[in-house]
Amino acid sequence: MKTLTKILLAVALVAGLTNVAIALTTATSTVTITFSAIAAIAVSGNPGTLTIVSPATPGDLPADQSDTSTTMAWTSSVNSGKTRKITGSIASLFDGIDLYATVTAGSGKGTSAGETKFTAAATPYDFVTAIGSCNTSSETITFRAHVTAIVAPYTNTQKVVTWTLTDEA
Amino acid sequence: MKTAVPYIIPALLAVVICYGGVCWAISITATGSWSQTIDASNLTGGAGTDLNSTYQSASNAVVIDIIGAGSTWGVAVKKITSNWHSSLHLSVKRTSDGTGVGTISGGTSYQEVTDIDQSFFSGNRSRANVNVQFQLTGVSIQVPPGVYTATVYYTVTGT
Repeated sequence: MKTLTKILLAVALVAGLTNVAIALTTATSTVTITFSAIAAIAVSGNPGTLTIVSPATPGDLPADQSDTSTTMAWTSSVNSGKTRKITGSIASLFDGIDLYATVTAGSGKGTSAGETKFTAAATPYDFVTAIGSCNTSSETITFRAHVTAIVAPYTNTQKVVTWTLTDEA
Repeated sequence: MKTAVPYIIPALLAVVICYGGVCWAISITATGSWSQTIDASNLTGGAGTDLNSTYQSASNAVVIDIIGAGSTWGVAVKKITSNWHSSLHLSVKRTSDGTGVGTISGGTSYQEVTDIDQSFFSGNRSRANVNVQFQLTGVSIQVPPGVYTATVYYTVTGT
């Protein structure tokens, strides 16, 4: 009989533990959302040809030529306290011409540096700074060619300008 | 024999009670999770555009089993978050009835998961393999980079 009692008690104990083990009234699952930092930039295309023409007044240098036909778009997400900037660099300089560029920045999209000259080749210059988390799709790019000296005429000379959205120090 | 008698009756009662406890207890288990990475590939139209605002998990991101033989029950849902962003809204819905001898109803439309328990779905007896799907809304480029986590709690109670 003692053996039967022990068995019953053991069964009761196991049943009790089983009861405790499976009677879960709350279950959980985890949702994890990861936001990666985003730095995306694009331009609408190539600007029109800047054609330098003879000056109206003999003895003058040819007048400046500008193009505003292209736009820039960017999307940026940064952590609090961090900002980005847009730099531009030109692969090589034009003979007898200084090239300037301006990139606008709408409200909340950063701060335009205004017109900036590509002074040296392969050197990044700041065009928009203080870019936080934002997106903008149609900021105007203005190129201006300023003749500095009379040189031998040349045509269809293309220079590549590279725009980069990068972290500010 | 006489010394054993005082133990026999409590032992038998214990078995009955415990088995009774098992028979009438309600339990719930949830299996699965949802991880979503949001990056530049989720921009609506490339550079210059914002992120898609809404994301959904697989329809069976989480599978819930409920054991509630002989009783009616309701499941409530809530979340506890860490490093959550105020513009993000997590919703949940039930995408299948599961299987089992019991019935199940409600919870088939997305409802926001808040920080307090809210009724999700209800039923009776046991249902297994009840699929659950999540939806995240309110995503924009204004949400700073980082990892945002919510622990979703499913609490079953007898009704």
